[in-house]
Amino acid sequence: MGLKNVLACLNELKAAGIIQDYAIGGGYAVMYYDLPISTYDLDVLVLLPNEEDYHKLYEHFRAKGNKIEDVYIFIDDMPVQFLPDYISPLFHFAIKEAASIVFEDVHAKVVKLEFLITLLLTAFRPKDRIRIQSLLDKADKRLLVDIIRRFDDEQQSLYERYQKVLADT
Amino acid sequence: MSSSHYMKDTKKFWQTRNKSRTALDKKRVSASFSQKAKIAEKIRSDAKLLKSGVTVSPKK
Repeated sequence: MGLKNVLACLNELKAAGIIQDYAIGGGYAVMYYDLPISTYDLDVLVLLPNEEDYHKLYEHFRAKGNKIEDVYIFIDDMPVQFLPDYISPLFHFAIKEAASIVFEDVHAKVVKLEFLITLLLTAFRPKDRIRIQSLLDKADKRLLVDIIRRFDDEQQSLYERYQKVLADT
Repeated sequence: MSSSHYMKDTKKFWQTRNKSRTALDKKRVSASFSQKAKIAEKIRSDAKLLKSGVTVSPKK
């Protein structure tokens, strides 16, 4: 039941107005677009007006008796990290432009593949590079470059990283 | 969304996230064989659910 229960819980949070919207990112989004990988935690990008609402989200789960360890809230034994959109415009638009998917009978939103690759470019750990290489074949390259350019910094770090991955592929 | 919506200094946020991730990874690495088998089974089951996903409305 694990993931399905977590998705249902996320939908409840949205219906209750505790979060405005959400999208699945991280390793679980990689699994959606690609092959199963060894991932343990679930990254959820959430639309929240400000930091106070982020703390309220933790308070909500604390009051419900969920285990909280560091930044992780355990929902149905799954460590979940909520990543608020006020951290970065990339998070904000990754949620706004996410795809709506039905998993059996549960609706959820998953970040678009091209946004997922851009998010992996921001982390850029060795395992992220491997994941990017594996995902690139399925991506719309023009859309990907457009997203990278939209959210890149002044040093064009993301585009540079993208070029590095292409050179290694 | 105006640029004032976004947090200016996110360094602490990322530091906390990375620290928590490392701690979770360490915990997973040091898990017993039976715990690792349980995690692997959960990943298989979650992957199956994810693969059953049907796109409803791709948003632009």
